[in-house]
Amino acid sequence: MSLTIEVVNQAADCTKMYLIGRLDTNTAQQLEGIIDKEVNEKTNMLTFDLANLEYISSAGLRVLFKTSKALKKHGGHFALMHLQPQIQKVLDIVKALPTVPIFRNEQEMDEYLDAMQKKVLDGDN
Amino acid sequence: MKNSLTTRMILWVTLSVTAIFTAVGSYDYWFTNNLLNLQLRQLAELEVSASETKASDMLDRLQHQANLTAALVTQVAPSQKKLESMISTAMQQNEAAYGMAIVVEPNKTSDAENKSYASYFFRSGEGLNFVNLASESYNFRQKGWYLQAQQLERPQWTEPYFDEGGGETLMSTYLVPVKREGGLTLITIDLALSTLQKMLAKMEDKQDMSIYAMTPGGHIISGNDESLMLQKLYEIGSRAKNTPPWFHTLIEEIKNQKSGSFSTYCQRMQEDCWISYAPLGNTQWTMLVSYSHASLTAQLNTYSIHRFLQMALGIILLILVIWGITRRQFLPLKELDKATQAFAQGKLDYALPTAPRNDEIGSLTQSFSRMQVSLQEHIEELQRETKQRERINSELRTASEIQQSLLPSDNEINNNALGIQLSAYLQPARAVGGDLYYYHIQKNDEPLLRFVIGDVSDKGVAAAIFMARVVTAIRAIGEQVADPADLLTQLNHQLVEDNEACMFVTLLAGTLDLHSGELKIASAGHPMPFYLHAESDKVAQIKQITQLNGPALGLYEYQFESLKITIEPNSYLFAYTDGLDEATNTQNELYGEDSIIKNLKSHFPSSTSELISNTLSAVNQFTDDAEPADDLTLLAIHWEGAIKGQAKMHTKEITIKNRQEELEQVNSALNEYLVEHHLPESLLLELQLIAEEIMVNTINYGYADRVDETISVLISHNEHQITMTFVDRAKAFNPLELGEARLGIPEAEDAVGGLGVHLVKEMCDTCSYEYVAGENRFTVKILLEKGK
Repeated sequence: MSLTIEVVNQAADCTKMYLIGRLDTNTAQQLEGIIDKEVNEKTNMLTFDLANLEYISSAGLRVLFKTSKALKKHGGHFALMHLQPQIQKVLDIVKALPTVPIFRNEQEMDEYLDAMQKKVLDGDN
Repeated sequence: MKNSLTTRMILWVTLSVTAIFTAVGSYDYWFTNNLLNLQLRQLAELEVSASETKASDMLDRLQHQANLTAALVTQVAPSQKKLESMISTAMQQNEAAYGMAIVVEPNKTSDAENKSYASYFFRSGEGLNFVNLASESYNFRQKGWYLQAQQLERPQWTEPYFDEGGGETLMSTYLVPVKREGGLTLITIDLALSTLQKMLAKMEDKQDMSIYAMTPGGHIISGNDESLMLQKLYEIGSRAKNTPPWFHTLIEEIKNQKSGSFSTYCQRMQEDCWISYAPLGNTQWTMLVSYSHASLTAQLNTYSIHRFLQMALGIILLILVIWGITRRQFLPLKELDKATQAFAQGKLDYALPTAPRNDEIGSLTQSFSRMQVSLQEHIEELQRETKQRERINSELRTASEIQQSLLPSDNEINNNALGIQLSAYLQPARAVGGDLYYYHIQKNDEPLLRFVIGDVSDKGVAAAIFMARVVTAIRAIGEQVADPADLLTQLNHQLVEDNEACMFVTLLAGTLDLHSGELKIASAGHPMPFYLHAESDKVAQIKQITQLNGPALGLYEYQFESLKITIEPNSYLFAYTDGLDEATNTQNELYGEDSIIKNLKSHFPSSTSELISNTLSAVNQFTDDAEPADDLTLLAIHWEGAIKGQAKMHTKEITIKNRQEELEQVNSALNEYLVEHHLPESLLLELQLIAEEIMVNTINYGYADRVDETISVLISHNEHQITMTFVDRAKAFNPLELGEARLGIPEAEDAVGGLGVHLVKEMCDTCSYEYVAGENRFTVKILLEKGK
């Protein structure tokens, strides 16, 4: 088993990645490479869709932590959606990413994004 | 140096010499003092008598002059003119005479033609003066001296008086009356007191003394002592408040014209003095001399000071000489002392001083020299022997290592899967020994523990070589036969052959079926093991399995038989060699089987290693660290019995290289295992996660840069749980001792390793770590009944 990553650029500053398969020691580097390529300072929103992620180990967690930190540094947002139970369990154990919004479906995410945009607009006014 | 021989020698010699000097000096002082005293006294007496003679001479001469003139007057009756010229001549001849007078008073009735006259000549300047005493101005008839002369029968001295109008000086006059036919002719001669005083003063100056002359009437004429001048001796006593007791005696003596001398304290001189008194010839004058003791003793003191200085100088010189001599004499001893100290510090090549003399020190030096040579030889010999012993020891160490390698590489088994725990301990009494143990777990469908413990007769190298032979044979035969009795029989057969040295070995062999708990045991002259059964940590039974023992191996052919029993789960077997029950303390008492039993009962073990350590500390306490007499071997086995009566244990072992890519193999193997044994697939991800975290940790941190190393995971399960044991040979590392991982988003990347361990701890139900024989063993158990 390995990891397949599908990248969808929803907007210029909004990226979504579908992780399919296993995120373990051997595949973590693969994801790290893609993120280095796709995510930059302009990225405002990065979402991982984990609907088809079967497995995650501490090496995978490390990549998620790193990405989250990198985005936060220049004010970007990071979110996860569609967590499988086994993935949820691992995240629970390490009590990781408490500030990261996790969406059960697209609708929740859209609502979150709307709220964000509204906040930004209000801030401008 | 304070306590050196030289110092003490000088001290003692000086003290002794000073004491002797002082004693001799004191006697000498006393003797000399007496002698000097006597001599000085004689000298003083001589001086006194010389002074007396001088004074009495002068007085005598004056008296004589007057008497002579008087005699002439009596016999010849010269004319006035003639007489006057005679007197004038006499004055010139006798310098001591101050003046002379002639007074003629004829009897008016019978001698009318003779007229009366009174002529006086006295010294004035260079020449003589003449005074007519019969003049109106003088009128001698009223003078005291004339009135006194009228009363006299015999010549007499007047008391001192001042002759006003006559001699015009203080004087004493000698009166010689010549009475004839009712008339009086008087011849006088004057002694000016100043003349006498000068003479006395002159004598006093020469000698350190006070001289006093006394007139017949007791008036004192002194030399230099103005205070007593013209005092009356008899009146001094009545005037003074405290007259010394001798004073009145002295006055009596002087009155009676006696002479004498005595020593007394003299108040006037404020010191001891010597007083001498004597009448001056037949002049009725007296002389008194007081001689200061100080002047006598001054000489003696000078002598004494010289004497003392002489002695002190002598002692100082003596000390110097003694110091010099002792130093010179003891110098070789000092050198010897230095040499001895150097020897004591191990400097055996220190050059000894040459022995210059053939005396005791010389002989001592020669002895030292001989000692030095023999010490050097002895030490060389010792070094040679030590080197040889080192070589033998190093050979023995190698032998010991080889012997150790003949035994099972671990001295422990801890196989949870099979429910067996085993600990072994072997301590040879010397570098190498004759004790042995052996065990092996046969892992097939019927897991079997084989164990052997034995003791070769004798100790040391011979026993060790025989032991090697025995162990090799056991390994070879053990492969082929299962029954311990057969093992003993065959082993005995091999050993009996070619056993010229008649060495033998007692041996206990056994097998334990890890499924059924069936124990087969056979003994060749070896004590049976103890059997401990624990039910909820309490001692239920301790008994030695009894069975008829076979003979020790290597003596003669014998068909051994095994005893077959079944042991209860959770029980211990404890086998030992005679190093335990025959351990001896300093009182030569044996430890004995009773003590073993007592100790096992009082400290019921919770593990085989604890059983061994408890037994060891008990026996060490008993022997009180006495030198062990025999090799000591202990073998403890614990059977959990957990798999008794269960379905067969399923195990699988996967071994990979230390590369991350190989983790795929583990993942698929775990998958296969779950499928094969119909275990819930839901466990797969959990097992994979645990395996990945532990193995990645070992690959990245444990082995780090090392390549071509391996990691094994042994997976097994029963109806209750799945067990995974990870084994690697990386550096010792206990993940459980790692602090709690920082949760949440870690700050640094290295904390992620801890995160992985945290995940593992959370995922499994129990996990344990041990480091055994260079291997990290990390065991994880996951319960099945939770329905995972």
